[in-house]
Amino acid sequence: MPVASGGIHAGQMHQLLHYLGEDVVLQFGGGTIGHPMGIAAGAAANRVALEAMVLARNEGRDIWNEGPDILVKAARHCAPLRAALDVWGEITFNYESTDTPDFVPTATAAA
Amino acid sequence: MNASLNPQQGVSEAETLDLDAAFRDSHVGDVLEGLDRELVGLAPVKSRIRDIAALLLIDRLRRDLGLSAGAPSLHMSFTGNPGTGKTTVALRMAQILHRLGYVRKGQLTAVTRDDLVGQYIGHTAPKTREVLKRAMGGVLFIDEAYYLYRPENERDYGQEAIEILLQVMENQREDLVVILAGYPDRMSTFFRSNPGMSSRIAHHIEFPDYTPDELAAIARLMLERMQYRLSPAADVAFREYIERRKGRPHFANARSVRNALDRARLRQASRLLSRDDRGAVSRNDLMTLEAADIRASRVFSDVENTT
Amino acid sequence: MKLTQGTFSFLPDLDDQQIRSQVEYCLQNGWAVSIEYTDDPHPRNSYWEMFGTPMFDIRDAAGILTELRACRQTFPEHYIKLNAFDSTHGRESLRLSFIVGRPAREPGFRLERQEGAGRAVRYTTHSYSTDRPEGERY
Repeated sequence: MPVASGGIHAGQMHQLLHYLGEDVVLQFGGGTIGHPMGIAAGAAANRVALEAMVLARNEGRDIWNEGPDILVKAARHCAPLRAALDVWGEITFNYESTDTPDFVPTATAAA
Repeated sequence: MNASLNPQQGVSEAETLDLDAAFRDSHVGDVLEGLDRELVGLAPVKSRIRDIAALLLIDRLRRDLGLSAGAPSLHMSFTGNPGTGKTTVALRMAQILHRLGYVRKGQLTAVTRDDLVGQYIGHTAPKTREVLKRAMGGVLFIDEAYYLYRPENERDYGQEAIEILLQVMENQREDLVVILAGYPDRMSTFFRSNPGMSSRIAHHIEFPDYTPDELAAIARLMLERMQYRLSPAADVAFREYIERRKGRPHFANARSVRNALDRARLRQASRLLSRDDRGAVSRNDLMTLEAADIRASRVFSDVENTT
Repeated sequence: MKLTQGTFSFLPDLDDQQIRSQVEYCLQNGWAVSIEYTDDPHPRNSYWEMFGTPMFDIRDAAGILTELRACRQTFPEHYIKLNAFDSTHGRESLRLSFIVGRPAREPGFRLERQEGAGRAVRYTTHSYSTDRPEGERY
């Protein structure tokens, strides 16, 4: 069973469900504890986001493209989710790989 | 600013739509052609189906324009003599209505009175409701529907089943299409005693007896499917057979034709086995029914027929 | 205090159209849908009563919604949930289970503490509604 953990947050729920399906363990560590309204609110936000996404997917909607809209709509009924999207909504996993060299080769005595 | 163009509708009053294109895009043409090809005769049935298909197309176009008239009532009653194709068409009706988009799932649930009516008090309602639950999304075909109504037996629970059916036929038109079938005189008695049922049936379709030409065509189709053929003399003999059999009692149209062909196969088998040159039977021999196989029928030998 | 058992319980109550979409999804996947009800909302109460039988041979959501309407009429003040059972080999378990009906007032739970040897405390939840006998709870 796939497990996702490490910086995932409620704002990415559509991507998580799309990539990993529903037979998955989603571990929201920072995404729960770091919630501005507290840990319980963090848990509630994640659950509401997941349920709203599964609801939409079952109805046949295209969650990859409509995901952000679905989350915003669900957040109207859930203050913790609104807060979560406000704080983390912009965060994605599109960044430079940590394998990329972060130095410029310079001439040394050996070369 | 064009005042006649409603942004909701997208097509103004003056614009025209291409019905030909819409017809081609839907699969209505295929459905109608398939019907013509595979069922012989049945002119009133085919014409009614054509009308329903046309209505569907127009309905769809109207819906695209924002005009809606609600789901039309599609409940039907098929009346006709035995063997005129009532059950066959009912089976196809579910397919047809599904392809035309009138029913959502298109399964056919075929029941008779015993599937709907219970044996003791309180038994009927759950039984009928179970059947209706299974049938929703498709077509419910009730064969010999008049048996539901037995006024002479006061312990009969058919009336309860009828009442439940009436309610569903009226209130859940978009969930279920009901087709009743039976012999004409008994069905008309049934409808006379149950005006509520009669008024909910939008399409009363008659299945006329087949003409001899149509029966011959049906025989040809059956033979093709069974991979037999008639020799030219047998063809003539079979036409004669049909003419004679029609007048005799208990004639069941297509069913009688099928029985006759089965009996001819029996005689062909016996004939082949009693041939002198049994050691050299060709594929053609196995496939061909000869005139003798037809003429051996009692229909030709009985000069007078007694009821 | 809204009971949060089952899927979609954190969302606002589903309306009939949404329930229908979910049921269609279950039927498309070939799962058998059944309806259960109870008036004992304890989270460890996994044995709700089934309304009718599991509907293995239903093709369309309309049939199931008819059954649901009948259940709501019979038990207007009970919790009602829909279950979808997947019978494929290796799974044979529920795939979806969500509450579709609730009583008007849900009093909620209290925490019960039981002190044992050496002041070790054991906790359970207790539903206020079960203070009253069956049939009079809601």
